[in-house]
Amino acid sequence: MAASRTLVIDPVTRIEGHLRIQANTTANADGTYTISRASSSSTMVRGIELIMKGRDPREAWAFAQRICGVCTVVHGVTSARAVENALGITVPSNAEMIRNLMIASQYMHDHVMHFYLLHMLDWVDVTSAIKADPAKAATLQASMSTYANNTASYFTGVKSKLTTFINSGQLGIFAKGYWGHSAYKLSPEQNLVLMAHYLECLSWSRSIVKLHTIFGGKDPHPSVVVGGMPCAISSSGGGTGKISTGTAVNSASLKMVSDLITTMRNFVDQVYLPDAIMMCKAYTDAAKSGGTDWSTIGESVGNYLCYGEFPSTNINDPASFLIPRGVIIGRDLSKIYPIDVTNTSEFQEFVAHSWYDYKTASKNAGLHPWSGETTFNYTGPAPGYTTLPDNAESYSWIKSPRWRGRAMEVGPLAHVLMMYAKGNTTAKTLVQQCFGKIGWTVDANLTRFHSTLGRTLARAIETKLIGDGMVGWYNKLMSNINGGDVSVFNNAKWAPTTWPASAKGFGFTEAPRGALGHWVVIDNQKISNYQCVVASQWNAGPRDAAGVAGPYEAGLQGHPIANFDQPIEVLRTIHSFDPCIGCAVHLTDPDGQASVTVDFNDFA
Amino acid sequence: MNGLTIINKPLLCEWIFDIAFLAKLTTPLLKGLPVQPKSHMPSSISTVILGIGNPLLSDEGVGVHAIRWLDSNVDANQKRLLNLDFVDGGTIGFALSGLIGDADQIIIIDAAELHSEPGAIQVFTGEGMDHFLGQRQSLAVHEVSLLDVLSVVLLEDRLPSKRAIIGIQPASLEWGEAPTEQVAKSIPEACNAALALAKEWLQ
Repeated sequence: MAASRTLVIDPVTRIEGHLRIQANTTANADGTYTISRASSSSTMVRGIELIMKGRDPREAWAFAQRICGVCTVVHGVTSARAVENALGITVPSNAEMIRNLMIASQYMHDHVMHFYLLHMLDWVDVTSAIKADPAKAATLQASMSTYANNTASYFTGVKSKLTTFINSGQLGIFAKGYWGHSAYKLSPEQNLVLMAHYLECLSWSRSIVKLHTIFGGKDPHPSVVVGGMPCAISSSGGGTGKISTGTAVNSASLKMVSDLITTMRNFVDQVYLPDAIMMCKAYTDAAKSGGTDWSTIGESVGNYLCYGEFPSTNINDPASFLIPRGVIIGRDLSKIYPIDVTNTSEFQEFVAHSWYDYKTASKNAGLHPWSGETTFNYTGPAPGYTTLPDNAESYSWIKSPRWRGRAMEVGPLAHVLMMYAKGNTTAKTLVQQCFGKIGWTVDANLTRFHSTLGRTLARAIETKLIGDGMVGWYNKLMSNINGGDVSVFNNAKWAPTTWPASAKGFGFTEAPRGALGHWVVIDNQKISNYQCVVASQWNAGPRDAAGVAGPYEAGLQGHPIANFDQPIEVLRTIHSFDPCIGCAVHLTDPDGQASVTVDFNDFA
Repeated sequence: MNGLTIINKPLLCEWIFDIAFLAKLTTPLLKGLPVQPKSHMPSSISTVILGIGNPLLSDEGVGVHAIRWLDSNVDANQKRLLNLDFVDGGTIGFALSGLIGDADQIIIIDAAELHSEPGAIQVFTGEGMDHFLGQRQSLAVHEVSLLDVLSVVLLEDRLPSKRAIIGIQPASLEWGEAPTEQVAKSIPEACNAALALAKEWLQ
């Protein structure tokens, strides 16, 4: 009988926030292991609603944007939309387009940074890159795209820089890598090309953040407002050539927005998407030389949920969304199920395996967010434990959201599948082109997509689709302005005297990590309940009352572990979801000891 | 190349500044007092004072509360002449790397475990700062940490040679939009230390 061992990764590195993965494994005859059951838990508590109660709903967005350090824009907009939904406020077309551009800009930044900084080192061996032949790397680059940095001298420079950095002994951010692991399959030249772009994405990302400053007044933490956007638009000239915060958006700053969109798209088209395709092909073809085909493992639950995002008209018109609204069940792309977020039996949060109780219902019940509760009940072991219980008991601070009782994967793969299923011809063509380049069969269910690599490819594909979408939203904004419409704010219901005594609202975005919802209840002009169900909750949540695993847990099922002490396989699949477990608590401790016993936090 | 991340060496106390001494230096910087620079031209050297943390979690957000103090207590003209920028960095991780790399001088204010009384302040400069952050390497892997952010800035050869972190010992990390009383009392002192350092570096 095979021996079993329990694998614990705590914390999972290169993510935002604190995530712990515990997995039961069985030993194989060749010394490798296979995951038989995985559990995902976070030791961070959520409880933003505790700070929202009793507040003026018009200021909720400013607090909501601090829920997650990374997703400030999406939480701010989602909160404003929840209050607008509750009070029946529609925002002007210009504000819709500006919100689209700001959220899209967040996608460009987050997805590129995730691919290169947080995910790529699972696939790229830094120490192999410095053995590359720069001339061959240049030839490889030229075969991938028309990107200008494709000369031998350019790659000689990158190689030299990396060599100096590694030989200085100051590995810094590279210090914790599993370099030399047998699961690394790229050639030295492939590694060098990808590392060159790792370095380039840093200066690229610095150049694009200005869009938030132009529309949101400042960055970090740009402003929004209930009823629209706070940036006045001046249709008459300006022309100083400077971004001026605190004054109107003018023709000079709008020209800059256009240039920024071009900068974003060029990098995505010429660098990010070709790199993702090259990497996916290499780790598919790895099977031919005895490795793992990463397009055949890592599928999570086969169900996908989107609230939808990027209206071409307004947020109350889902038919106009670039990312459609709906649910896909069991990989079946022939049908998109409609959703109703107000239906209390459709959307529910479960705490059966979470460290909470429900006062108004049993621990195995599901509650709709409008009647949601945050009642802490920690039943886990005292700090210092090595393993957590994962069967009958609670093991996470994350609640488990379910749609009609089903676990759902959210995020880029859900977005691209929904566009494809809906019949978006641009999306279908791009998906088919990418599959063709990698060598994946395009079948009815897009089988290869439901995998670790599929998730990583879908993220790159949607970055291109959304980048292209920005051109349309920008043009609509300019067309409105040129037609004399400079309205960005609807003040009709700004005064609390215009509000009903009681109101309920739902605000949503498709954040870069997936479906994000805020549910607000307003009584007597104040917030009486506020619940966020965030993307990483859908993906990282523990088992529900029926024992059904969440997407992270399901995705790890059956994973091979070549080297028990270096479980890079787990990191590949978990990172493919782009975990963001909030980074609110980051207390600095010179002794390297975790100095906080409970990290109050939320997720996005 | 600048040094970063000297891991597992003991903390060297010569990098810890005397706060009382620094506070004395800052006096001329405060509102209404004479401006020190001889010229009326702004300094060509930019200094960013960056507060980080989550302002919803009481003392965890002390860096952000410090930025709010600076915004309302430092004279605009002095801020201009010293080419200062006060930035509320929140907890946005890698997105801060551009801002840090663009600065000529960077001073970060953050909650820190100093094993001291709540409100205690320590200043770590240059390699002392790198070292201080490197000490928490084992904790840093929990998340995209300040050390990770500085590492990528170093990789780009953009790490400011004049750099410091001012750590403030928190009392509470519970939900709350204001710092605790003990920590709130230390905010002016921490801010004055930052201003003094910025000015000292310009001389």
